[in-house]
Amino acid sequence: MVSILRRLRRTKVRDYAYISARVRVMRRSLIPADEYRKLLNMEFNEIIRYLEETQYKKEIDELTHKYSGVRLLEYALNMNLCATYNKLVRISSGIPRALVTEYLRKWDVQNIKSIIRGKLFGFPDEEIKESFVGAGEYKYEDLVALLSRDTVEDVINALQGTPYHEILKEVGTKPLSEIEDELDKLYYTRLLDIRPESEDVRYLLEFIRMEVDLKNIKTILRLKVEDGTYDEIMKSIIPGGYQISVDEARKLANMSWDEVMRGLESYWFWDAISEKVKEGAPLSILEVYLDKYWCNTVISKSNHYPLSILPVLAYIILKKVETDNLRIIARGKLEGVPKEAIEEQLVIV
Amino acid sequence: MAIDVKPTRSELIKLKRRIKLSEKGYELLKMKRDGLIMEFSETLSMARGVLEKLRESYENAEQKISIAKAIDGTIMVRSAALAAKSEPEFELRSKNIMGVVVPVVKRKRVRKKLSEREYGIIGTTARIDEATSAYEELIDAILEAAEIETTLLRLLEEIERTKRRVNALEFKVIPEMKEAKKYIEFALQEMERDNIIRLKKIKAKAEA
Amino acid sequence: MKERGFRLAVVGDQEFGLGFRLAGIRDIHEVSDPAEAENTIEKILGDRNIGIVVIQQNIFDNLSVSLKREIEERTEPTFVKVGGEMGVEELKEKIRRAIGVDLWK
Repeated sequence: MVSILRRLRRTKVRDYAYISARVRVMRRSLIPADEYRKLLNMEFNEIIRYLEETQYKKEIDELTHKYSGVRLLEYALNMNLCATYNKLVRISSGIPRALVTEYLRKWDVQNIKSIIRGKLFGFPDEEIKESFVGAGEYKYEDLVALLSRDTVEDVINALQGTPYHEILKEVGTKPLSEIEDELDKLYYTRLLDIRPESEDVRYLLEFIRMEVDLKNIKTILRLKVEDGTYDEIMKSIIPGGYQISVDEARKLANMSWDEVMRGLESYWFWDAISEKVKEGAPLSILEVYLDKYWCNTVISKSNHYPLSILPVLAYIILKKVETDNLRIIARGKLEGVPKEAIEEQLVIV
Repeated sequence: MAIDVKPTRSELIKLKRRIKLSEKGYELLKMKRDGLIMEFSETLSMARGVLEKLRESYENAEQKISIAKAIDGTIMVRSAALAAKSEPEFELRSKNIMGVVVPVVKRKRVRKKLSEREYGIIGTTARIDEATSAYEELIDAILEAAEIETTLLRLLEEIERTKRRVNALEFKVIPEMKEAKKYIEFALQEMERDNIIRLKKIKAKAEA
Repeated sequence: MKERGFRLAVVGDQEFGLGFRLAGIRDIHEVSDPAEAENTIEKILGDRNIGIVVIQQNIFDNLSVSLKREIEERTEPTFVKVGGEMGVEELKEKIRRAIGVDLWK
């Protein structure tokens, strides 16, 4: 009995040892914090040239004969993000691989939303394709196949047998906004349904619960700012938060804006935003500070548990943050947004 | 100058009354013109601030939508725009500055029904919300700019009209009436002289 | 003269109209060249429901001299130029023409 347990543990340690080592190396090729200052001083074309000397080279080279400008950049960023995530799955095995795969289903939801939305509003296929990050169960080719169906109904029918179908059936009868929120809720509910059999699954679940907290508090603040009603808020609350559970969300949804602001003090992320709240900063800035804090929390946790799923999750988040930062800088530069206004939107850790 | 008046005493009295009235009107119109010009330059100094605010609102709105496109994605932002249901409601009032009527358009501040929000909240960020409200603020700034521009133009028109009337009174109407008055006075004097001469002649004849 | 309606119309390139659309404005005219812009504006001038026209400054700048003049001389609808100089130059010019002095500075 004891020996079996030991063997199990050993296997897991070996799984994690390999992926952790690989992720450690991959993290080194992320754009370092102080490089952003340089990027902020560059023109759009210089940014593209800069990225051609980084891990984005392959995608930019591949796309540059067909695309230019911001389309080239955004497409390349999506392709690279996708390739990176898929590599992560490829080089992992066992439980970590299963957990990463589950977490990356986030992109299935995202891509399905883009297809439905894009088709409903008559966007050209080309443009919808460019938004794909085929890093979940549905790879790029699967998504293109899904997109090639004639109508939205055809797409929805093709998803029969998946958990998404139940929600998507209501496209046309329910507002699209509600359908999108339900897809996102489904993603988190499914993740949180994983049974916490072992320590590493528990790490993942705790991580997800905290992510849900951040999603929930952002939802509450955004809807409160627009005088959203209790029901409107509760519709978009994800169950299973770490501190902001459904019950806690109910309390907050019933409060006035000022009460909510005071109430924030009791949550784990309060330190991240306390000053900005006092300054009366806009919500997008609070979001940036929450995201920064989230990154730092995940990094420090993963440093405590280097042989766990946490370093991999940290990398997944940091990579996403990097592509978002690059998108903001590039678009901002192209459309003449002042440096300071770009900078305050970046999540630099 | 064609003067078409009957040189009678009653005509002279009428004319004198009209000159007095015109001179009074002239003074009043001059006062109105000065008032309008003062109002105009005050509005003009306000216009500078309003246009500055318009510039700032536009820059802010453009920045906000750029960031929203970067993070929430162009498909999201553009489809949300295509689907936006809650058209802003406007209300029309008017203001009156020294008889100049200017329409005032204001955006009604109604709470948007969140059910009309065309994008899921969990999968988006506050950037798209802020881009929307930045454009609503821009619309307010545009309405203000339109109001002040209309005010300036209508004041200018009124100033022009008043100036023309002042000038007409000063250089045409009043001088012409004064000319006419002089003519009647002259004619009446002439007639009086003629009468005296005639009377003298009659007297001389009678004495002869 | 009867007052015009107060609907608000927007004339500009595709990117210009996007944000206004997001804020719920429906009367959005996307134009890609000066000829299209002129046709659109002629139509707007004939629509008595439109009281305010938001026009992208560089679209305005590229209109024919005669159409620009027509726009400048009308108080209805009111054209508000957005982007670039925000119509400051046009307003100055109008004032200069009307009262013969530059009251702006």
